[in-house]
Amino acid sequence: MNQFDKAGIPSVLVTAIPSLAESLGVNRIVEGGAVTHPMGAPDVPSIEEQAYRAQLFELALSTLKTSVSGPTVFTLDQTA
Amino acid sequence: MKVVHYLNQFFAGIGGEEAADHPPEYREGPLGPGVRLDELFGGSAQVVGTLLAGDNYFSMNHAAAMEVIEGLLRASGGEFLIAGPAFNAGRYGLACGEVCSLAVDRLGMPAFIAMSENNPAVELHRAKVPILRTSESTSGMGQALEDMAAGTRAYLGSDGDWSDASPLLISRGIRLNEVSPSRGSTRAIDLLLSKIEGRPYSTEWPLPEYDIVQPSDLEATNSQPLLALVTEGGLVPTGNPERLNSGRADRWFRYPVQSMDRLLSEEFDIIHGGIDTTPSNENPNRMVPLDTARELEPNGGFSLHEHVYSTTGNQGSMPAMRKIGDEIAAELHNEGVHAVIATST
Repeated sequence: MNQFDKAGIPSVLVTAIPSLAESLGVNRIVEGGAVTHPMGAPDVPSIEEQAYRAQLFELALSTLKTSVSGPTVFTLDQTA
Repeated sequence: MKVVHYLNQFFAGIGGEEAADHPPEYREGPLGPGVRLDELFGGSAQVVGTLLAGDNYFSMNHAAAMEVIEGLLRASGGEFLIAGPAFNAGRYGLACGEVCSLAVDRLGMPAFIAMSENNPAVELHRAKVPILRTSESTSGMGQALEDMAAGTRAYLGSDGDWSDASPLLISRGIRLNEVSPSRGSTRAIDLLLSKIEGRPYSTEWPLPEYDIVQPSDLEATNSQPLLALVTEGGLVPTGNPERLNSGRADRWFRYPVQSMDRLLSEEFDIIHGGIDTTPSNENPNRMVPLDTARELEPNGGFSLHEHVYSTTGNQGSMPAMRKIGDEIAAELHNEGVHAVIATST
């Protein structure tokens, strides 16, 4: 991840273990679903899962336009 | 002592990145920095020839390159291989490491590499091949060459022992067992008490250091950035034809998704060895959100890049992961990708 930033490519990591990503110095972090499915929610009906994935994706996209000054974790319940 | 010197395409004077595909070849006599190195040997050794290869050639054609290099090295009549100085150049450092490992393993030839302590290749090779410490940047070339000559003389002067040269070398990281007079539990408590009571203390095992990197920002004027999806979840085409490792990976792959509006479970597998892959195998979009990306693309203010990028992060070594990150970043840069959404397990 840091190699992307170093190359001037803003990037965001969706992970279910944001604290690990933080300790490794990843700058933009979105808290994902679970280790086995960072962008998934297999326990809810498919329609809800699609909506969840879309929300996560939108959040991830928005972080790319957000200035951060160091490792920052974004979670879905922070959004308006 | 007949020395063969390994250089990459840049230091051999062939060219820069545009020549990074240059296949391996052997040329008589020293080239580039080898000329000065030869002078510094002062007769105790002689650079009889230069082995060279483009950094990308080596990375992309590893097995084939090794075969060719072995042949060239055998034919050279060399008795000692010196690679570098590679400073902080990752691909070059890795090539140096591979070539020297080959010399040691397949030809029983003594070898050493000169590179910066922070070169990603150090971790991978230091146990097998002595690595002489250089500065990070090429501004330290003069010193590096002097140290390389001194290191060589120390080795030759002690009949093939590296101990005299050891101040010049990066720690080999070779673990030797020794018996401590006190148990681990006692030492741990002592360490904790020293910390609490403000006495000097030192760790028995230094933890690896991680980078602090300035984040890049998406330019506000870029209203339609090209976005690429990347994962360390081990996404592969069904059957894993390229045999991406489920752990300790050192490769990455890209898959064309231009014609797809979702990842189909019949076409893709998840092979990350550190997780239960069932949920993501059922629906690979849970690992790499292609379906969502396609759904949002028309009005989402971005375009999706034609490839998705995949590796396995399970037990990945830091140097290997940095190398993979560097390589993917280089490709994304060349492809004009503006931003990345990555997923990890």
